Amino acid sequence: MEGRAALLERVIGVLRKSLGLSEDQRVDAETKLLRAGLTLDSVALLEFVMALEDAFHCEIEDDEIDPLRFGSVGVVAEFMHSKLAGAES
Amino acid sequence: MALDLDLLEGRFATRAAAQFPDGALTYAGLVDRARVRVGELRARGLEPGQRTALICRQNADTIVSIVSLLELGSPFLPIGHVAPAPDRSRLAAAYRAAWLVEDGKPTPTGRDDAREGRRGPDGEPEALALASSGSTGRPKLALLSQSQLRSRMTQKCRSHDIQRNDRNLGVFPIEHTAGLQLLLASLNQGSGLVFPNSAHPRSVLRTCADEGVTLLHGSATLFDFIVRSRRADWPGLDAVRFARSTAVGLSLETHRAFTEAFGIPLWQTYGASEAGGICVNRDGASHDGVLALGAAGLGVDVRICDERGRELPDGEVGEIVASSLNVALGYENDPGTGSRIHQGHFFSGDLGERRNGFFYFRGRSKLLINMAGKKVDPFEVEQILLRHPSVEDVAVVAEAAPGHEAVKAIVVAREPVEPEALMDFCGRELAPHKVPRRIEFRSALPRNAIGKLSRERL
Repeated sequence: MEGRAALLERVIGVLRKSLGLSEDQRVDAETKLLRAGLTLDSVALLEFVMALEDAFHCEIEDDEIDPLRFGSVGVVAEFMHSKLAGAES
Repeated sequence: MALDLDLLEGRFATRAAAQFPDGALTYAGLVDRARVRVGELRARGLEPGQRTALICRQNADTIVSIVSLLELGSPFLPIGHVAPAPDRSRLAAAYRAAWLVEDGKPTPTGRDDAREGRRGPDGEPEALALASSGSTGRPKLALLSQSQLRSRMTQKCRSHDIQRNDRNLGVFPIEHTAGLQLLLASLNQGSGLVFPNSAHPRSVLRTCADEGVTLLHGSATLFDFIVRSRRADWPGLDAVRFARSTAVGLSLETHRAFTEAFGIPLWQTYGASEAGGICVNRDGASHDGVLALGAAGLGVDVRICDERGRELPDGEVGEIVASSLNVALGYENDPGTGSRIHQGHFFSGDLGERRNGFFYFRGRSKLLINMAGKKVDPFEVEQILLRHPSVEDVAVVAEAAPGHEAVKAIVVAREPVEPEALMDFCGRELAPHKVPRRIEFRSALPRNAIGKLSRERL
């Protein structure tokens, strides 16, 4: 399985593509995704979740889409790391 | 009252009025809880006629509150729970609500300017208000009387073929006009409304299969997501009679891909908070690669008009004007711009043309952004961003996204500022769907000689 740094870069790439972020918009592990109560079923979050599923060939269940797992880009990368590790074990 | 509780209890007692992932709310349970709640609201001082701002969640308690307020005769404005406090306050103030109800508990707003509900020309009291959008940043609230609400529910069931044995799944928040009207129409008909775990297409399809859903209602974005992301191992829509996409934005490509993949019709419907249902396209009628909004709905006269309100012939583009008994009484908090209501006529602000009896969307004469069916007024977002000390000038525009539009802010900054800081700032003031998804920085915005923003040159 790829390392955490590479996985973080992939997650950032997926986020940029799914939200159409420009290259000059800084995105790193600290970037918050759920600004001030962004709804869990909002279109943006749903697009990101579906893009992650596509990129990592996995299913993110409804109960996994919660603020704790989608608070920041770094937390999402960590969540994907443990999810993929779980799938391999 | 808009709903007859005795009738619902007597006819449909054991049927599920609403099905949530964690259980069902039967009609008997709904009526029992609503009667208790009416007593509690009255005991706390809420009187018929007094306006209420109702904070809505996707749960049984919100449905109980809606039915209770209708039964009590307290007109209400539904507001999503995700709206931050300043956004809630703005909406409650615009409605001049005397009460705020959240999780079944009423709290007086303490407003000196609180107003009682209006009455329609037939003397019927106001039932509720639906939030629309103006072009001045002030929320516009379309007011409906009890008789208009009853009429809309009946029209919706007939026009959208909602039958008593149907199980409806609607991917809308309850506070959204489409969600609230579907809920009330479903209750009026004695059918069931099913709530999925989430709006994820996989979750929606699984819920349809597990719960025997017969009618699937959603925004164009939902159908676009389903078509784009469908996997072979996801369930089909075997029990669904047809699906229905609301508002504008459904492409002919998505329509064709969906109907081919699932083998069921996908209806396009077009309506507005101010007018209820306006057009229905049951057969996928299209012209020149564009899906029609549909033909005029049941009991609705639809015309294409020029700026003076004169009807235009087929093939000419003008404003879509709908006339029916369902057109709202008027606006509360009307800034006098954008869409207009006048004596049963709704001037939509949408541009369209008619061809062979079908109406086609041709753009907006007002500047609303269609965020997956939720309308965002750019001016409202601009006014918030201009309060940020680092923002000198700003224009908020729509940015194309698959099946919908996203909110983008073009900012002229006084000093360096991170996009996230501006998004956070908006997030503290505005409902999530109004927060810009992207911030673009420029050195200046195009303005004309009198300083007005030239949006066409952005």
